[in-house]
Amino acid sequence: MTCTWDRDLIALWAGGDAPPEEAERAEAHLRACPACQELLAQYRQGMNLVAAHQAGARLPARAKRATRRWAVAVAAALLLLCAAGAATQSRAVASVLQNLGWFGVEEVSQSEWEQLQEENKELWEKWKPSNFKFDPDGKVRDENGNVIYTLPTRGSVAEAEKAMGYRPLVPRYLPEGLALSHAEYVPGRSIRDINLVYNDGLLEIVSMPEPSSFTVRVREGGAQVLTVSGEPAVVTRGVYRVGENEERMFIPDAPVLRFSKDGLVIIIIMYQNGYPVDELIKIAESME
Amino acid sequence: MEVTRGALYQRAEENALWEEHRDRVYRYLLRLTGERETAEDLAQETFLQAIRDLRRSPGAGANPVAWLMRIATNRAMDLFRRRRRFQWLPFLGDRHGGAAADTAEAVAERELVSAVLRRLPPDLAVVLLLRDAEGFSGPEIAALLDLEQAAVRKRLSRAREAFRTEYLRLRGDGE
Repeated sequence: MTCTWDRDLIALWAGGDAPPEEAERAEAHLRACPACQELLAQYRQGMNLVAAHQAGARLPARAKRATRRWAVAVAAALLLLCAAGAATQSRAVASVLQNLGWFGVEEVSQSEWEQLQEENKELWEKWKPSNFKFDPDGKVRDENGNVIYTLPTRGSVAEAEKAMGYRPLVPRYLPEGLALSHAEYVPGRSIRDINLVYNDGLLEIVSMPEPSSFTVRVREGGAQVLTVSGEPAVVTRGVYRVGENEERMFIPDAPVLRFSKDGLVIIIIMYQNGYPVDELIKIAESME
Repeated sequence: MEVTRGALYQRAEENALWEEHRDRVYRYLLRLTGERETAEDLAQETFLQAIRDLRRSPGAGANPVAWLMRIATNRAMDLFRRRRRFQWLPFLGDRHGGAAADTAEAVAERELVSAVLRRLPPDLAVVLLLRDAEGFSGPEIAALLDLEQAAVRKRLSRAREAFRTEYLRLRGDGE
């Protein structure tokens, strides 16, 4: 049973997509034509199938929390890395970072790196807190009421723990002259990071309970895989620091150590050029 | 390269955007490509690009989902072009170990729909999915894809007809 009437129009009408002036025409024909009613049913069936298709699919979490099995496998691979070339090293770096939960790892050349620093300067000028008018709740909203900026809350470690619903890791060992200033956190978000700030920000230690939907940019050859308490870790170099007067300083050789412990991903950042990685490892291994 | 303080504020918003919409973007890409790993990779690319765009013009539009879907669509289309997707694939031939079969006995409905979608030309599949799976309106799709509304309607009707025909054919009761 077929009809040669305007199929395209029926296909549109099936989903309410026919232009208003045509819709009546389609309705009138459909009332009188069983063949096209059948066609309509088929179009609607197709629409339902498409709508239901993979309806429950969810993006798998990229991160796997470092498990013993995995750690053993990577540790074995690490032994091979000593003599490995640059390419193997970068793959290892990317692999460790992604297993720690970073969504992406982007390796950039030295010149791209320098270009990014320039771009970052402009971005920072745009995103300086003093550019914005904060609402009483510490948020900045655009003209539509969407939040575009949130100041973190400052408090004690205990307050941070209460607000974020978990206990962050704290170091038992600290290098000479360093003392905890406060904890920073942003309540009410799916990101539950707690940032421990030492002195005036010379050292920061971040605990992350959830994987980071964030990308790490690694300068070619500027990252290295090592171990912390037998677990795979990565050191990268290069960090921005925000000064008291909102000035932004790039510290190209500042070390950043990322590793996993007790189900949390930890980031240790020392905002000082050439700071010895051994000290960061000592801090890392003392965390509990 | 780690940015704290400034990034802590900014990252919260970027990630909130992604947290809310990641599954939806992934689902769309999974329906469009029919391949899990490909969809995951494209989702990641979408996110990376979204972050870059967001930083250049923060608060990109009043409709973040449409904007994400636009990026996702473009990335998928780039991939299809690179892969020259317009080849016809044997229908479950490898799985059943025999020659490509035109009948679809004992095939799960999901595999059938997946197979049908993969056979549609990408520009039709995109409009079909955005309208019938994702629920975007005609005008929204037109904006998302930079098309005239009439062009969207044309693709939509062709897509629904192509789906209908292909579904019937693969199911074994083609006309």
